[in-house]
Amino acid sequence: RNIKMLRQRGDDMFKKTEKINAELFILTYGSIVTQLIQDFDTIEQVNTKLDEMGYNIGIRLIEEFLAKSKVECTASKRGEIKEVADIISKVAFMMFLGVSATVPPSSWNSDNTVFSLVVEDNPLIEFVELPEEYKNLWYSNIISGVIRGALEMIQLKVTVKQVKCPLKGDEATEFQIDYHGIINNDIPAL
Amino acid sequence: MIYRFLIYDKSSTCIYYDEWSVNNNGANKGVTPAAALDAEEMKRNTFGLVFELKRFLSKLSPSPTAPDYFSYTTNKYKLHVYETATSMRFVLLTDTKTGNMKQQLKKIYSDVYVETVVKSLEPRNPEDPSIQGNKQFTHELNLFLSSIS
Repeated sequence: RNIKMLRQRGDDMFKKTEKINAELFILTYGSIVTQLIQDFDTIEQVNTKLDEMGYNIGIRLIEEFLAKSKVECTASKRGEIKEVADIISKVAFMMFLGVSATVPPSSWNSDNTVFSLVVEDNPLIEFVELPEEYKNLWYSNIISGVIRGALEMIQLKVTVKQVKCPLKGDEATEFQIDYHGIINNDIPAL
Repeated sequence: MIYRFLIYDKSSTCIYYDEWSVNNNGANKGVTPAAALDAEEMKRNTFGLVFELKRFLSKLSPSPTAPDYFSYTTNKYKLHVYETATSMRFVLLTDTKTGNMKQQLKKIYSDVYVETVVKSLEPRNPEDPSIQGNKQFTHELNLFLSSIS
């Protein structure tokens, strides 16, 4: 399956999906992050909480993604993480955030178990400024959780963390994804 | 003619079950304690069958990937299973004349389940994943099943 087809699928999905006002979305997310900073003692706790929230979203989002996008997920069954990476970056990001991400070929490690997802126009950070005292905040960490939750539901174990952020001076938002293997839930406890 | 419909989540729990009797009264769905136990056993047996059969069928298959839909027909009924990538199983029992139900089961997943359960704003209890009490789901499902029987 090639990139062009996935990109096209991503665009189609973007057109078909119900849209929400971008500013409403961005400002709502901003208020959530602000509230979390008030509620928790340390920024590390906020990062963790964003990841948890993302996880809870991801485990449900995957069902909608699979049902709507009709992407054949045989890749996940075979543990073909490269194909999964392309699907996330081209179809899923486009469908849910309206922007497409890239997986730089140079970001893959030698045994193809670690890669990066780079988002150029991250919609979440628009209008946002990060004050000095919150410099440890990974503002888009909710996305890390979403990816982790979604992949867990299709039997892929990953750890995801945000590693670059334009609010901190980086070029683009970047997530690092570590693939640990297929989750084998073959024998259920009956 | 649809006889029975079940949904299993990825942890093998039966989260939905409905039955339509051949005599068209559909009333007796495990109302007595004995019948209730039978229903539980039937659900477990059905899951065991679906699970093992898929494993077995994959081993015999010329294709390297496991099937996401399969069915078998006896002289009394036909059983269809559709399994999602998230290991949810949608099981349908119909009369023997019914054809391939893959698209219909996929539609139940995408148009009924995702819309009314996944996107539901109601609080969920992780201890009890059953959607038997979800009125919106039941309503949409019955609408859909009437349209295809």
